[in-house]
Amino acid sequence: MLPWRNCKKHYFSIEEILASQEKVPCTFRRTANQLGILDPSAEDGIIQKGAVVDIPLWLAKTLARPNHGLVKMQLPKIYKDVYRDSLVADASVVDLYKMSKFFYSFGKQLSDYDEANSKELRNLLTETFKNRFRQLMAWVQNMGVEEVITEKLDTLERKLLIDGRNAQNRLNNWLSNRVETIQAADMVMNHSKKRKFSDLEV
Amino acid sequence: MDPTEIEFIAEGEHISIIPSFSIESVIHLISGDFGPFRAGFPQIVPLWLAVYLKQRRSCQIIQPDWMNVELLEEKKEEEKNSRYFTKMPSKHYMEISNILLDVSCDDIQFSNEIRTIIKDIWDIRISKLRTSVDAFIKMGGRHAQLTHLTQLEINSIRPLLPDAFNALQKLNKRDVVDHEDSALITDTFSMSARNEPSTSQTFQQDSVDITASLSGSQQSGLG
Repeated sequence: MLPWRNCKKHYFSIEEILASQEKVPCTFRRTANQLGILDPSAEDGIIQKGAVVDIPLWLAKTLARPNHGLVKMQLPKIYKDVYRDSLVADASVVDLYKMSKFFYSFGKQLSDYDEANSKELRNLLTETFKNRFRQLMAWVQNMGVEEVITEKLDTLERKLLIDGRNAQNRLNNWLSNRVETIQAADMVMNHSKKRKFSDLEV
Repeated sequence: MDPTEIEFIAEGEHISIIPSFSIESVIHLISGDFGPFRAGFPQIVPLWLAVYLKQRRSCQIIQPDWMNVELLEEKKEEEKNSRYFTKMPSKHYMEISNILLDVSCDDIQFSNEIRTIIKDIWDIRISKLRTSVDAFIKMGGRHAQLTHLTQLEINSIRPLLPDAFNALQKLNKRDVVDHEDSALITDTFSMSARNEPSTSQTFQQDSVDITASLSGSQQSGLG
């Protein structure tokens, strides 16, 4: 099941957890004494004030909270300047997977924390998705059974593609030879198995 | 939903057959009673029963009215010229024609022509559906009218369209995740909790009044 089928945020969604591992560039506002593990190039385990370090989103959002105020989050470059321009120009040829494995999910999470750019960022994500959708749909409906091109797609698009492909294959099979038989639902099968088992015991 | 499941639903549609046997009794099915059957007299039965009888060579299936070349050609032209989807002669046209052409080819006149035309109509409608789905997503529409689309056609864009739509909606919505924000929400909750006693008191008073008047009316009724 796609966690995206639910419109609500999913606490246990593995996708969202993995997406929150993506790194955000953060500027340190104060000198941090014991946090050298975050930055391999830090000397004596001390991160100087003003240093920019890439920190996973789940950690950055805690450190950036007003009561610590230790770091200041910046927007990752994949949502800025050159990358943004290329997405606006023609989103369908961009290699999203190379930019980020969780381009949409990560961007969505960032937009929740970034008050100032929230709207713009979400617009960028939705426009990118809309512009790439035509290509995605064409792949879903016309790709052969064997070849599945998923290289340039991010995780969300891959899921959509694979699910769509499966449904399309079933339809094609039905249209061409109609040999399939209806399968009983798993629940029914398990239920009848259980009953047989209990019958044996008695 | 699987295409085979939709085929199963389509098999509930009614169709005329000419049986080659006679049974005086009526067959009771969940979908209704059928029969009695008399050899040579047409009778209406569900499609699955017709297929079953046909396979046992005990009936002849009568071609549905809409399954003729001229009418389907007309439909095809209409479908080609219209921007919207046109009404199909049967809401399961694809499934029924598929089943009939498979099982009772000999009962159907011009079966090859019909097969081709039905496939053409299907292709036209599917490509139309595809362009409209694309336009729908691109424009960011909120609802779509699916007039005259058949179940099988709607199913052909599942799960892609609903999933894509959900994803878009999710991307569009701003979730409240900030701890500061969630703290704000608990504050308002506690405020409403503080207000609660007064409202519950008035409520209790109201209910007392009601019961009082009720008991009063009961008494008067009894009296």
